Amino acid sequence: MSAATDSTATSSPAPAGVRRIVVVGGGPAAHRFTEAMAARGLEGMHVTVLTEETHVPYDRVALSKALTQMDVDLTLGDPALWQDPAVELVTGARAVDLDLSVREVLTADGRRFGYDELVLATGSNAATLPIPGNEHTHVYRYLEDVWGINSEVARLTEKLGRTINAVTIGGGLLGLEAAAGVQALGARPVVIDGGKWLMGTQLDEGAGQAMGRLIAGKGLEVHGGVFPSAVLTGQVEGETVVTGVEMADGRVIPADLVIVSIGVRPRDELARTLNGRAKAAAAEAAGVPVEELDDADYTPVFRMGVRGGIVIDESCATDVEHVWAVGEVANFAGMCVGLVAPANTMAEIVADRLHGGDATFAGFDTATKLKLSGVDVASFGDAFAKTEGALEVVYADPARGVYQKVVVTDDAKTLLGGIFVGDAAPYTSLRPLLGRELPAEPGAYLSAAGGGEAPETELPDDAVLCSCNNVTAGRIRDAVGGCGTCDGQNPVQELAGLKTCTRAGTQCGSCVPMLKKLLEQELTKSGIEVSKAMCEHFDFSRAELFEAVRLAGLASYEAVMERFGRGLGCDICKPAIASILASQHSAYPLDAGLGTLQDTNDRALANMQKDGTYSVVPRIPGGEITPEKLGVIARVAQKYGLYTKITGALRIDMFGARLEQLPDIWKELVEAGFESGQAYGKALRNVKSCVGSTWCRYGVQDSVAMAIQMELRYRGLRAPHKFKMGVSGCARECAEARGKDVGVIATADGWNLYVGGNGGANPAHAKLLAQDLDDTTLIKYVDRYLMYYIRTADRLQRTAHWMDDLDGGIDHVRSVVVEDSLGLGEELEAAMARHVENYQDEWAATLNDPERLRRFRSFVNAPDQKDESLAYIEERGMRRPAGPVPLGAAIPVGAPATALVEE
Amino acid sequence: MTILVAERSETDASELRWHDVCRPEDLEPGWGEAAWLDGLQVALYRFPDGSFYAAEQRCPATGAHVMARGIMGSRTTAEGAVHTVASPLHKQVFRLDDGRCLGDDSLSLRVFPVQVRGERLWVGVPR
Ligand SMILES: Cc1cc2nc3c(=O)[nH]c(=O)nc-3n(C[C@H](O)[C@H](O)[C@H](O)COP(=O)(O)OP(=O)(O)OC[C@H]3O[C@@H](n4cnc5c(N)ncnc54)[C@H](O)[C@@H]3O)c2cc1C
Ligand code: SF4
Repeated sequence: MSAATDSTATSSPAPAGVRRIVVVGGGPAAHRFTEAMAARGLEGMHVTVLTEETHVPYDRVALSKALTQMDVDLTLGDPALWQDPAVELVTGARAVDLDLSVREVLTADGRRFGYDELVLATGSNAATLPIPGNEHTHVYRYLEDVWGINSEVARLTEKLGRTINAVTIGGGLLGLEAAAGVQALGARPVVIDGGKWLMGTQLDEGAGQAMGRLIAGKGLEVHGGVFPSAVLTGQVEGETVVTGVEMADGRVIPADLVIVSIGVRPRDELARTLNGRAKAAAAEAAGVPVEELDDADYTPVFRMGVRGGIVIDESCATDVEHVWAVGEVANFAGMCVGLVAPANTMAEIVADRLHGGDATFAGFDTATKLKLSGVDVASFGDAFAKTEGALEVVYADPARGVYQKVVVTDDAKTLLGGIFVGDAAPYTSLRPLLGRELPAEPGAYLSAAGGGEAPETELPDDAVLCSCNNVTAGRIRDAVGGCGTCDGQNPVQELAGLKTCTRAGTQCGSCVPMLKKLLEQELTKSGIEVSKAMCEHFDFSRAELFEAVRLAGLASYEAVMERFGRGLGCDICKPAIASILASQHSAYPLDAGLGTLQDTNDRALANMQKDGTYSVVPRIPGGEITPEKLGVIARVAQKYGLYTKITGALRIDMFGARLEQLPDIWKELVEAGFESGQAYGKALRNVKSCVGSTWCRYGVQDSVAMAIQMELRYRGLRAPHKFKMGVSGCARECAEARGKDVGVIATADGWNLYVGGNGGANPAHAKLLAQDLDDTTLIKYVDRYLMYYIRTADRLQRTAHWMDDLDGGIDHVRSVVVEDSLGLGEELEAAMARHVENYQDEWAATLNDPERLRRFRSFVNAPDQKDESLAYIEERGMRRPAGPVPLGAAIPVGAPATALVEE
Repeated sequence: MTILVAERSETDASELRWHDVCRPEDLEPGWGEAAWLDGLQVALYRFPDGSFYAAEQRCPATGAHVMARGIMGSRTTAEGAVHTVASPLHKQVFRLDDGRCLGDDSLSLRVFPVQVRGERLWVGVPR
């Protein structure tokens, strides 16, 4: 990015003779415009983008991600765009005025930017509430807004020492998104909505009712039909704090934090400034004070919409020559629309026009698929059946919170629109058929009614599959077939590449399942098999092999190999099979031919270090240990000269044990009551916990007891990758449970369960799965969650990555675990019960059996000979491997988690 | 009886010193083990198909003496299926017939010829 820093009177980054195009605004519309200009060629042109924000244009649609994950990068498109010499992005530059006579934009810091063409892309602002106390509320529009909410939730939780009440005013799309976001941050979410039902803009009453039930089921408290009248505050330790929201009916709803999300207002200040000046001039000419001049008695410079917005025609031109408007600030046919799809379309149109084209804006398409976690909602086309003679085919099941409606023309043939709540599965296939004849009876698309299956139809080439980016099915087929759009590339045959090349599915993401399906259809048509094979010895993915082994009831490596494999296996499939067999049969890992399959660490029931020696980690459940047991560890470490270190997982690691020493060391540990900590396995590592309510003055539940209970239950459970857990005694989260695959955080009423977190090279924050669970339900859900993961994940795929890859992500997992949508619940629990019953300490089992001990001899012909190549030096009172520290294998940060082979 | 199991080294057999190491059945199929040959550490492998291989115990990538503890397997190469072992540290895969590393030409593992002579397994190490 080359930010213009000169503050001379007129900044003109473009060389003379070049057509100067200036964009005001740096949101999605400005970004898409610039990208579209660059794509069409910038010969003889120069684009300057002025944005008041300090960021490179980012994806506002995905803003909620930044609420729960502050470091997420939302930058739109390829940042290389801003390196183009014909493109200049000027951040921190707020345009405050226009001088139309000399065609210049004036910024707040006094810079002037001359233009030949001006594109206004200033978007919208979040509207605020005209009620007392409004200054203490938050809005939800810019990155700074969500960062502020995030830190405020954390600060208030810490300060108040309890779950905070976060009230969102406004039950529209964004309000619900905000509420779900603060809920994920651990706050108690409350939504206040003046309308009779939620999402009144997109949903009819039936759908709104279903939505209300679903939202309540997610733990959001909704107060509908009443307007707020004041935000109440009080004084705590000299600080003004929010205490509640007073409603028009006198009720007070307790609140510690208030977010206002009641709609947006176009940022049309520039146009208003000019209009104001024109009006003042007209008043002066007429000799009356401005206030008294009738609006009809002067001609505004820019025509404005009744509720704001700069009026454009179908070429996206404003009333002023050489001035265009795109995105949310543009008012077309009397409306401004707060969706990104029309913003993108308008941007493309202006780029086309500036390149001599004649593209026109056909009007708004207001399809929405809400991305709200855990709730499936979609509304598109003529959702309210306003077309003359339109028919509504509806299925509603209020008890289940399901509502499905398809709107068709009076002959029941052509699709006009629809609404889906609770089950939006048909949306993706219906959406591209908008305005077309349906291939089946409308009723066939009401999947929840259990009626006929809607036919799998081929999308026509001109059907729009991704509406955000206006990508047609034909365009995707071309890319799959190798149209050469992407640098004369070969056919694009995987999803990620297809998204980059066509841009389909890169914005709101709701068309991704459809995109996947189309890709698979195309590949099948061209006879290409989509290979999910684990390695050359198997044609299966791990998940497929898991199911195949389970269904065939196979129990040995030889049987699996004979039935499904070929060759002698390798370091990829062998450990995977060992893990599959271990999860299904809980067998001792070194017996019955399993030993030869085990990866480096499992083979020795210890973690191999860089010099080939091992480290020893006894289990310390929940991190709780008696002084006596600490003494045992100290004695063993002294006796064998082991380097000791406290791990990040609340345990003690002893390094430098030779293979043949492991049995002796473990003999002493096992006799003192320790057992294997399985630090070596792709299995449960530990359950980290804080001290909790037994000691801590903030604790609301006994986190140590719960951690120990969980560690003892899931110890030894083999999985596709290692996994960790954490339990915190209150919302302060001292155990960092949300950085774990399974995180449990105490609430006043029970436990909140978070899943899919991890540290490491690609950190991920765990997401809320269920709230306020009692002990039994918590364990039940964790049982189901883990077993479902073990069955369906790929090898070396941690839970976060696994959920990302699943169709429907966390929502799908929630439906399986909480709602038991696949009817697997009992089976998964039974599988876990078997694991718990069959658990044995691997080291105790080893020591009892000479055959097993044989595996720890150093040399087949000299069982007690030690490896003499090992050399140590002393450092800080302990020994460590001598010699320079060789570099470890490089793991690129941001590499796909599956590619990581770490122990 | 002398069964020639593997004689793949290009080294002239007369320059080899043969070590009597163990009984073939001391090795479990699929489970590598180290042997101590007068101070030289050697990794021994017995495959389920009846073949035996020997290689240096030292991992060419890291210098640690660990190769016996890697996972044994097979890979399909241009010359057909070959027996392999993966280093237990950073998982480089080596062919056991000639010691070449698959995927990294800069690495190679020393391999030694193995013979089953009657009841005993012998490994030939260049003098
Ligand atoms: C939380 C959230 C979720 C959303 N989810 C969806 C969704 O699922 N689907 C969907 O279609 N849409 C969604 N939207 C709406 C979507 O983000 C907007 O439609 C889109 O951002 C509009 O782009 P824009 O460029 O017109 O305006 P904006 O994104 O508002 O960008 C305008 C930019 O111009 C800058 N600017 C304004 N005035 C000036 C000035 N005078 N000088 C310099 N710079 C200025 C602003 O700072 C801003 O950077 C969502 C929005 C939010 C906030
Ligand atoms: S130690 Fe546990 S109970 Fe105490 S404040 Fe931290 S999270 Fe809460």
